[in-house]
Amino acid sequence: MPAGREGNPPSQWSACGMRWGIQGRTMLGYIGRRLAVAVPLLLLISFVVFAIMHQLPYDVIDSFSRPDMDREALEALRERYGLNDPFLVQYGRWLWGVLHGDFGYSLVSRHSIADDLLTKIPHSISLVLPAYLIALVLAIGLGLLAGANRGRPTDTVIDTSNALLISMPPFWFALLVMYFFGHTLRLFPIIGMHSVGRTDFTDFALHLFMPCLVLTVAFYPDLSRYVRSSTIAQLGEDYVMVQRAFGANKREIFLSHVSRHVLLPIITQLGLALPMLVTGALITETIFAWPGVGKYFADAVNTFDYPVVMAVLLLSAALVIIGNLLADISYRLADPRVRLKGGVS
Amino acid sequence: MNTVQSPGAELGDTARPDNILELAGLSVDIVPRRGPGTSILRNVDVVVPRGQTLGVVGESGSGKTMTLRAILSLLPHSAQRVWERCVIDGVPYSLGVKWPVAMVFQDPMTALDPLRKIGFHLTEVIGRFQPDTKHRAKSAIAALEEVGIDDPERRFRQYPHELSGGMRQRVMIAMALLARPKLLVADEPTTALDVTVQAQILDLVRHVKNTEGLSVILVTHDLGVVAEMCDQVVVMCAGRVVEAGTVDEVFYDARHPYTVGLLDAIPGRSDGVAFGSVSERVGAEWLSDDAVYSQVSETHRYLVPSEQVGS
Amino acid sequence: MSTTSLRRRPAVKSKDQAFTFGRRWVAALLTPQAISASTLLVVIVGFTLSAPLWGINPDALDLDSMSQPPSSEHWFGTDGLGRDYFIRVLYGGRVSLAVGLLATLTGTGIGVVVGLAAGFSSPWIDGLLMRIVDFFNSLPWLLMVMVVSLLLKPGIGTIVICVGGFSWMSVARLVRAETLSIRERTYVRYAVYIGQSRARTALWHVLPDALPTILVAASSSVSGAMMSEATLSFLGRGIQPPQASWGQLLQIAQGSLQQLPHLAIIPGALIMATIYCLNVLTNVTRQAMEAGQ
Repeated sequence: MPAGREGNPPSQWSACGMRWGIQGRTMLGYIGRRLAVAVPLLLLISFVVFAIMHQLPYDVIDSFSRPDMDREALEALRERYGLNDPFLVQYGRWLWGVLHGDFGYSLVSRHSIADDLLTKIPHSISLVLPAYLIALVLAIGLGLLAGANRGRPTDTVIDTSNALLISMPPFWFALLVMYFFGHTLRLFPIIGMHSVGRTDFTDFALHLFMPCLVLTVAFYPDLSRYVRSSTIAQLGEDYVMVQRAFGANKREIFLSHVSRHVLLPIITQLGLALPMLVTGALITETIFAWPGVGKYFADAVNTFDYPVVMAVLLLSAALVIIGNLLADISYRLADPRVRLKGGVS
Repeated sequence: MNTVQSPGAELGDTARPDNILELAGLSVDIVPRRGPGTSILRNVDVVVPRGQTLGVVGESGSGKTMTLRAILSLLPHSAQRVWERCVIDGVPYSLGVKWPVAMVFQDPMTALDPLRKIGFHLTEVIGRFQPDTKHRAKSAIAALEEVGIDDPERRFRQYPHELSGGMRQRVMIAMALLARPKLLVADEPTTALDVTVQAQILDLVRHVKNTEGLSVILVTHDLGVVAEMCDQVVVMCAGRVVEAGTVDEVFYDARHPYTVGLLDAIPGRSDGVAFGSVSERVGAEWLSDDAVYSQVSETHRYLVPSEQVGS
Repeated sequence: MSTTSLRRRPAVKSKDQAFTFGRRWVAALLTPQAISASTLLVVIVGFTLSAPLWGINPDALDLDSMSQPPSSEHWFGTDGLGRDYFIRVLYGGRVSLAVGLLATLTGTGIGVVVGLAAGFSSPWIDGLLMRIVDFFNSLPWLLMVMVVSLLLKPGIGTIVICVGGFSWMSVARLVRAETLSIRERTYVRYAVYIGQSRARTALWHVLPDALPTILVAASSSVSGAMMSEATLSFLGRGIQPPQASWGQLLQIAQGSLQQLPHLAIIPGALIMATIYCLNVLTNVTRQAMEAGQ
């Protein structure tokens, strides 16, 4: 899995679905089977995480208690939140709630987690989506350009900058951006999503600029590298030489043929990027105090607020699975070689 | 006594009008950015009389495909190409000139873009070579029919992977024909196909040649194909032309030991002594840089070690 | 030939292949790009290793000269508690590099074992192991690691386990693919045929042949592990103060970013430089390996 950079590097669409014993011919049946496999997976993940959180020597009461607080009152609180019940009982209680759509309440803020998520998910999306799309467009454009000019200065510049950007810790870049744009130039506000009392779009855009910039720079180099190597691989294919033999110039070859081959796997990448919409900006949200799901989770971890941790984890794991499924399906729909073989091999 | 001439001299100063292709002194080197270069082709001469089929034979790595690529300017970026003369259909080579040459490639599996339908491939070629055609789809379907594909309307809408190898090769020939060439170049068109399909494709090539009045260069390692299809033959080894002449001359009066070895290697001819690479058993002096051509007849010449000159 | 002598002698082929790969690798390392990357890397590592030799105490508070910018006395200035930043960066580098190496060893170790086992055993075990790989791959990495880090006592060991424990999957996949292809080679099949135990065959024959692939995977793991450690420490779940790592120093530097930007600039730049050099060397190694295919 990725190395702490925000967003996953593009990975090969795995044969995961095949390995889980998928047979059959219809697309709906295929989806159904994948989802059926997903449920035990989610159960397992939630169980493991719950077990981990249960093992902790501290609990949420400890996170806000001070030595001078009344011991008995704290214990009463524990009883009230059911923190002294046996593990399986607590897990069962939580699971029962989830199955009824009740994600419980944050132990720290006492808000309904579902409500919290409903507000915070759009916040995260409004940050991640523009960044990813811009990064994608830039990556496709520059990656194709680099691949087309392989070995020449254009390519060297793009490739070296990719290598440098990949080595750059995104949180460090965030601090630099914050210092330069926020403190020195005083162009943008550094904290949060809105200034107090303002809800207009201009204010929102000003707050959005820096975190979005950081995220775009975080997403871009992996995608760009991928597009570039994909382009170079395609240019070595036989059909490109055949096109040259039939008098096609470089522009025609790229527009009519190579770009399709390069874009095809990118479509599947988009599916795999689905979980990032929600949790891909954890670091950035924390630095810029952006009220999204990532920050929500980070705060919950630091305060041992386990219902929040469980809820976000479950959400994220579910998105990973759905994202994989979407990537899978869109690949099968888009690639004529696979589609026309009956949809499932 | 055999006259010895330096290569290329017999072509004279002007190209003969009854040759569709005159190529003299082609040399290709691969020069990578770092490290020494390697010589791929040395002093290759190819002459194709109009309306005839020239076979180019040799083992893998002998340079047959590279020669074709050199003619069609399809060499890799690191290659340097040098020739004394290259004239096609009376027109000497210059950058940007569209030649009436079309190529059929070896591997039909990979030669077509798998993400594009057959129809797209064909209409693309039509658009480039016959841009005034009003109904491109119709022309494409007609071309498919001409190369013997049945149910051409359906095939027009299909993707390459839905066709068999033989059909894909027919499509490639159709594409080549749509470019309205005078010279058709086929790079081992049947190597990747089943034996049963090979004969059909070769028949098609012969048919097309006759109906369209084409000249053909056929690259192959199969001497049986050469005997069946070709009028002239060029034998290549290690990037050089070691023998050239009409099929009868080369087959029945083979002079260069490599040619002799190649002919012996045809199953059934050699009494089982054919294991091992033919070129390994040829003495190095027969392939050396100093070797010169010896002219046996007007059309038949072969490479001779320089010590044997003037005997 | 007796079976005992075959058991004691590894297949000559493996050694030959390893030898030529070594030669290609050295040749590739002698290009200007690789040389400058290795030099820079050696300089950075050298400085961090030399930390104890400078005679400055990284934990010594000097409340008279808190929050100073770089000067001739304190080359990197001082942090908010008056500690000399230069020496803290050096010690931090030691920790970051050590964690990177250890986590890589852990992750690669697990990955090699799983990959070899999956590629060389029965399809049943292969399927089981690969399902485990799928399971780990479908976990949201950063979230899981943050939760797991709660469970264990914060420190180097925790991070090594967290990072290594979630980075072995790609190595396992690679090694499995290599194993599957290597096991079809004649001398491997022969070893199995004559009854050599599968474990020994895997160790003596398959593993040396897979070594170039493993080396490439490992060297790219190191930079990944360093980035992961920095990320975790930055989020407060990694190395805890007063111990320093580069990521940890960045986290503290957040608080005084406006006044003391150098506290943030320096460790981050070092992380970037180190990872970049490692990536260059990884590329060189990969090219050397692919040249032999």
